[in-house]
Amino acid sequence: MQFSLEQDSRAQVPMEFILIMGFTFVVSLVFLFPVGEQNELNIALASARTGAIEGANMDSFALYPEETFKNYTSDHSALTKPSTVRIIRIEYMNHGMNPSYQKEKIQIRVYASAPSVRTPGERNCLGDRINYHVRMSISQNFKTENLTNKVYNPAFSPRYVFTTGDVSWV
Amino acid sequence: MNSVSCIINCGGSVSVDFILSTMVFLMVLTSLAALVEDRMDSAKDAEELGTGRMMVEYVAETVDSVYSGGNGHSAVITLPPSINGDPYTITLMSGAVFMDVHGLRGQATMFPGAISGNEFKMYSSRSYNISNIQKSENYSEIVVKEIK
Repeated sequence: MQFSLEQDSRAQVPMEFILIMGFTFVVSLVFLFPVGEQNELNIALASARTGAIEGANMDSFALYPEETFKNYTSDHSALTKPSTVRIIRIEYMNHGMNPSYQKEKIQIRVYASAPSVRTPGERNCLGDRINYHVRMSISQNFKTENLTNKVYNPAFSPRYVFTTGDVSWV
Repeated sequence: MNSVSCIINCGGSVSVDFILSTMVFLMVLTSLAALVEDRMDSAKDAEELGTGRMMVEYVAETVDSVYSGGNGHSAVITLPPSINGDPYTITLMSGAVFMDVHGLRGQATMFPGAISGNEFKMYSSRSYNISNIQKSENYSEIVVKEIK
């Protein structure tokens, strides 16, 4: 099964080659849509993981945007000190087609651990930061920042719309 | 299917297996490239956060050691030119050191001793002398001066 110029002095390709390429093209077309859909979801979830780690790092090192830092200094001073925040796992749930956006809705839930942060209010702040970075990472990866709002809620990809559930602390 | 030795034959043609495998390889590579780039950016951000935290803790620790060393104790500190290529500033106040880098702010706590002038701003690539100076019998303060 070789496309050889030696066998073809009149610039023609063998019939087998044409048939194989045609068959490959048809098979590719059949699988193209589901593969593309799955690939998009994989990319989105990989971005979500990257974003969650970024958010957790920010929480761990206690370096925040200035406005947030000001709020934390007055209301949650414990968050201005470094702490251990780890991402345990990320799960997603498909909620089916969303009629408002005409896209499939995916809810992402992050499971994290922060043993040194105990109060629900402070954990809520840490979780909000993680979720913000999850949505931001997805929006930036698919370059859909202009379609969403300031807090990237919801985040969009061509086929899906992503929201985040409250972070579960384990 | 042809063997590997027949990937390119003497007539200058390339086998179908080679073309197909190259196509599949390129497709996989393309989908991985975005993910790898994303992770590399993330690692760079983490490095910046980590370096920033270490820097602010280092300054706070130096001021603490000068304060606990007593009157006349001093230390020289030289700040690196940037944190991951980004300029930064460090602000000394009584009881806390603040660092601003790339729109982010962090804080390290230190002994709540008096700082001369209440506040002192430190910039990258500069050296500073931090000393504990007795101003009166029961009052001493941390004096920071830039070394030219």
